[in-house]
Amino acid sequence: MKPIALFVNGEVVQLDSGTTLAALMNERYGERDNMAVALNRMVVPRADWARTELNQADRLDVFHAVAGG
Amino acid sequence: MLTIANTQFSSRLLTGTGKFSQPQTMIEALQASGTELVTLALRRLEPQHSDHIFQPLSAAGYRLLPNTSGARSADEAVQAARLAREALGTHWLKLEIHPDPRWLMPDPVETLAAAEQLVREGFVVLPYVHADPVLCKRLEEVGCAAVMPLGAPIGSNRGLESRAFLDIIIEQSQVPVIVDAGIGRPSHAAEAMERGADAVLVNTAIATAADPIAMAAAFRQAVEAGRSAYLAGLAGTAASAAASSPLTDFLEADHELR
Amino acid sequence: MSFADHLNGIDWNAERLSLYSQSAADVERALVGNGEPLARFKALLSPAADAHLEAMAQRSRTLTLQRFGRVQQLFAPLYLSNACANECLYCGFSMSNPIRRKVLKPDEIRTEAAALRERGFQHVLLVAGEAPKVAGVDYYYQALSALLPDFSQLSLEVQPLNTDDYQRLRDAGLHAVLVYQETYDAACYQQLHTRGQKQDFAYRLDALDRAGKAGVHKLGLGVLLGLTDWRLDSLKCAHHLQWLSRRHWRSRFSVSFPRLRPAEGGFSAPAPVNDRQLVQLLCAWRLFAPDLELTLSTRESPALRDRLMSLGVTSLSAASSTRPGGYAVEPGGALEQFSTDDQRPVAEVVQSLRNQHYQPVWSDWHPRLG
Repeated sequence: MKPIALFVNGEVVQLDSGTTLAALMNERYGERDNMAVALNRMVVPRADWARTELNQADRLDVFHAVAGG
Repeated sequence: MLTIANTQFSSRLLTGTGKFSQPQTMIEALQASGTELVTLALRRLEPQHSDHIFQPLSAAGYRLLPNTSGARSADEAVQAARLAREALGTHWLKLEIHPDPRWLMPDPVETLAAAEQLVREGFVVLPYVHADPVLCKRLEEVGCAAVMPLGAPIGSNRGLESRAFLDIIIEQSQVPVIVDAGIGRPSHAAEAMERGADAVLVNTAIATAADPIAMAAAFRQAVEAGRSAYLAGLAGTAASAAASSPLTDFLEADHELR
Repeated sequence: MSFADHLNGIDWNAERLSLYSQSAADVERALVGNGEPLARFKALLSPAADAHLEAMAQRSRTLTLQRFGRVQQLFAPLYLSNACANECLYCGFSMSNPIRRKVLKPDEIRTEAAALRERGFQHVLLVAGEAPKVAGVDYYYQALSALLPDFSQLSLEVQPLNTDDYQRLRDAGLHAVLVYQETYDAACYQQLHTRGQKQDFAYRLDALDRAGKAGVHKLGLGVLLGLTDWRLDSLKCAHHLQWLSRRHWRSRFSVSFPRLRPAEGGFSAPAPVNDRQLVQLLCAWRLFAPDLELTLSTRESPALRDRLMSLGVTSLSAASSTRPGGYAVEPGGALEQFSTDDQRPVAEVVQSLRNQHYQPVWSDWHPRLG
């Protein structure tokens, strides 16, 4: 498998090509709800994670809710 | 009852969830405040992060109001709003855009542009703005569900320094007016309610009190007292005419008068 | 510089045009208290202010309550004489009117005074026609001296006097001098005053300045409404008030706004003022000068007086007789200056005040205690 490199919250992450967003999220954050992901600045609904394949140089932003005013 | 976007609230106190010393204190303070609508922020998630704020708030039945803090432009705010909707499953949004890191003054131009876009996308938008009567009317016109003018610089606890403008906003507004920022004491909250505000949002003053739970209860009472006083009709206010003319309508009736 | 010079130095044609071209925005600014006081008064007197009457009334009421509280001063006029050497077309005392003339003698003054005391009055306004030969400063001095032990406030509304005479009466305990100019329009004034010393417009115009120089505590001025354009006339009166109050800053001021009433002689008002306009004028005065005493006589109807007392009025006469001897010497005689409208007994007026939660005040000053 050819490795690819992409950004997750600004950090360079190395993955196998063909990895889905769902796989990445599960590996990185575990069973966790209430997250939101933007892939190249487009929000990807959770229902689409499993069919979203990641590519070289993608930019992923992962957010969750924190306390705030 | 306070009605925002066809949703009814019996509490007129909105609370923020930031700046508490520990999550349990926050939960108990929210309970003591009687609030039904609480604000949250959105941040990038690190893998090791374990602070789960959503679950306890959601379990307690609060309606969540994510904000766009950190956004410095309309584009960033729209992006944050979409992420918030995805993360929290709500299309309610406190829109706040402050390009200035020192005073966190809301940017009126970017806020109006973002509000217009977000309303088109189906969000219930509650914009945080300076106490600017014209801007509030413009935001109402583009479809905001409420306006949230500030009383004083955010976190300053200085009270209603913008009262002259808040009065105008309250008098003119067709959507709920929620006074945000600057409310440092229960008496400030009571004053806002006495002046006719529909609700207030309090965070720092509760979270940083020596006893946040007791302070939350005090704010609850102050908001209720202020609202009751407003409904009871304060003496000696208003230079402008009411719809009825209690002092001069006798001139219209021609009984015994020329 | 006299007030006559001040008055002549103003382009009244321009002021009149300005008065009738005030905008709603001018009125709104005046309502919130912004701007120069006379400019504000002009806006509040203007036709444009009519649309803001309720807001004016609210503000007037609030200012009055803030400054004066829930009180109304009560006083009664005591007519000393209806003898008059003037011919004033609107007045029942005019010398050509075929009415019996009466100048109260000292014992008659005491009889009248006793009747007023019995009704509770401690503030009496001494009134007389202009007949200096039978009712001059000596006569007033004697009346004042006779009444002073029994009353705490004595005011005088008679012909204009000179400074020395005012000084003498003030030293004897006189509290207030009222000289209503009737109208500040000199041409109109000349048409209405066709005979006698009252024809001297300038001497009358300077009377309150003389009284102020003499140290009289309270100076009363006013326009007789109905003679000419009430808006412009009242604006001139406000100039007069401002001019006097800057000069005589130790004195207090009162303004009255009497409307012309039916009187012997059958004169009808050429420029009548309706109720709505009267309310506008009252409120304009209050907004112009929050500390000004505003006086209302029994010329107006009970119903209207009951309304006006909560809109800005601070001083009321009650159960007045406008003829010499009318209270006790010869009640029912037909010698009155004008017919009153509110003829309710004092107790009824007091009850009406109390019903509106006002406290009647019979005296707020004493000649020896201050």
